[in-house]
Amino acid sequence: MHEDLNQKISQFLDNELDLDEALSVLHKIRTQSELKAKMSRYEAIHHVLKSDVFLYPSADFSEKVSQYIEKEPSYFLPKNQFLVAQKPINRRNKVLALAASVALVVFISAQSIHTNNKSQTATTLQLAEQKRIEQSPKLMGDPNQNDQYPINARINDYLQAHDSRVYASDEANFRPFATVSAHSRE
Amino acid sequence: MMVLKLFFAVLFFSITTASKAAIDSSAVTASEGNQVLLNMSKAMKSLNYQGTVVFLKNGKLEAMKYFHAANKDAEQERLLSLNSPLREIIRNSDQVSCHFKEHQQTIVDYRPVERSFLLDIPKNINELAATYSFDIVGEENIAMLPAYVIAIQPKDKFRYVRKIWIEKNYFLPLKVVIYNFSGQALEQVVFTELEVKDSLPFVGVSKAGSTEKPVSIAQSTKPDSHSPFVVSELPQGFQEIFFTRSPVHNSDQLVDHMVLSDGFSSVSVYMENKNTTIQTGLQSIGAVNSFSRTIGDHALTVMGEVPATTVKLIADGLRLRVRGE
Repeated sequence: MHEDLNQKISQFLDNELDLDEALSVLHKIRTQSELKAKMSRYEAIHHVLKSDVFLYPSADFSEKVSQYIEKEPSYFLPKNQFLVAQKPINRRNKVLALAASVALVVFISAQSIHTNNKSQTATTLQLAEQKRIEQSPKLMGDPNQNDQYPINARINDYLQAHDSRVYASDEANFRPFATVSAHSRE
Repeated sequence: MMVLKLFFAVLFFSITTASKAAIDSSAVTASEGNQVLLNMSKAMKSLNYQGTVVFLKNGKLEAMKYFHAANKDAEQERLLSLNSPLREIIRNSDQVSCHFKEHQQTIVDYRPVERSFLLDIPKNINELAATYSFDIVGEENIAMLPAYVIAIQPKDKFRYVRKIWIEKNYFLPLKVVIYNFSGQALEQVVFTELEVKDSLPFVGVSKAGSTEKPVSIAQSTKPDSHSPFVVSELPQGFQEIFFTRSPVHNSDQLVDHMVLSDGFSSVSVYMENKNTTIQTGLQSIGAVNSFSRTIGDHALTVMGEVPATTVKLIADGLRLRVRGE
């Protein structure tokens, strides 16, 4: 019977019990302090097996947290006095608020017009550059060949053949044993 | 009488010295940027100098020791990495060797059109007036050395803006920056210290402890061979400077490779069989843009330190050479 209960706790932690069995185990744990301690140990073991971090809380850790939550007083705060007793807005404040709103609208409009002008005067090149960023390159060719030679390796090969300054980059180590591009002597 | 003669002699000497200084000064301030670039081109080839240089590319920083040895007959460039992966790169004329310390492996590569690890400088600077303007835009200190700031401003949208900081006394480049059209620096080469020497030794490629033979380069291209493709659209100033057919990848598959250049910027065009996956469209790696497309059974890629519009323009203008053309 004892072994059976241990197995039930283990299954409970592994989420392998149905609802009724789980409730039964929880009830027993709640009433028997020995089982509660066992549950805590199992929980710690379970946690260690599933992660690299080991935290061993005391047996009554969760119970203490529950107790603190239950003891936490409820606060029924009064409404903000400013909102409760709003004074009527006088004429001067209304004018000021209106002026501020108009100024804000003018400022936002000016900003949007400036931005539009900027985009209209953007050069073809800038648009092309923007388009380039937005465009996602497409894959062409036989997809079965993809594993044979990675795309990045191909570009690296081209870069290396294009400019010997690639050796000055720390990425020069990407292909130290490779044959490099050969150029005919003229 | 003697005193009077001495007085006039001193006066004459002072006037001569002052006027000479004035001429030198006016020569410098009035000199065109291209004259300073010409001086730099000569200095880079003929002087012996060494220092610490920092390459900033793709957001990565690489510090290296730099040596340039020169005599009447030859010159040698040498880079020694300060950080892993440790390597020594040596340029002797058109041959570049890279020795990896960790793997004890040496790669030997032939680069007939490149002359410097620091920057590309055209031989015919005076003939580039149609595509670039060269202006002295300021004077600054780099590595505690006074320098002219030369702006190399393209006259169209097909190449990047460059600035070169050139040391005032020896006309050696202290800093090179490539900018995009927003003024953002894409690549930088900066000396943190530089000194000119009377002489520096020419060194051989390091083979100490190496058990591997240097990777030999097979040359597959005949001198009279033509590229199987034609570049029909080229921005002004760009021209073909060489073509080769060689195994670019780590296999026997040959790849056609053409290099185009306007003097400062170079563009490579690659063509190979489309039996492997290629990524079509534009790609960007720092200042380098590439555009890939397919024509029939061929995959073509245009790549270079030029804006995206340039590689796209060249790629769109590519076509296969017709028999007999």
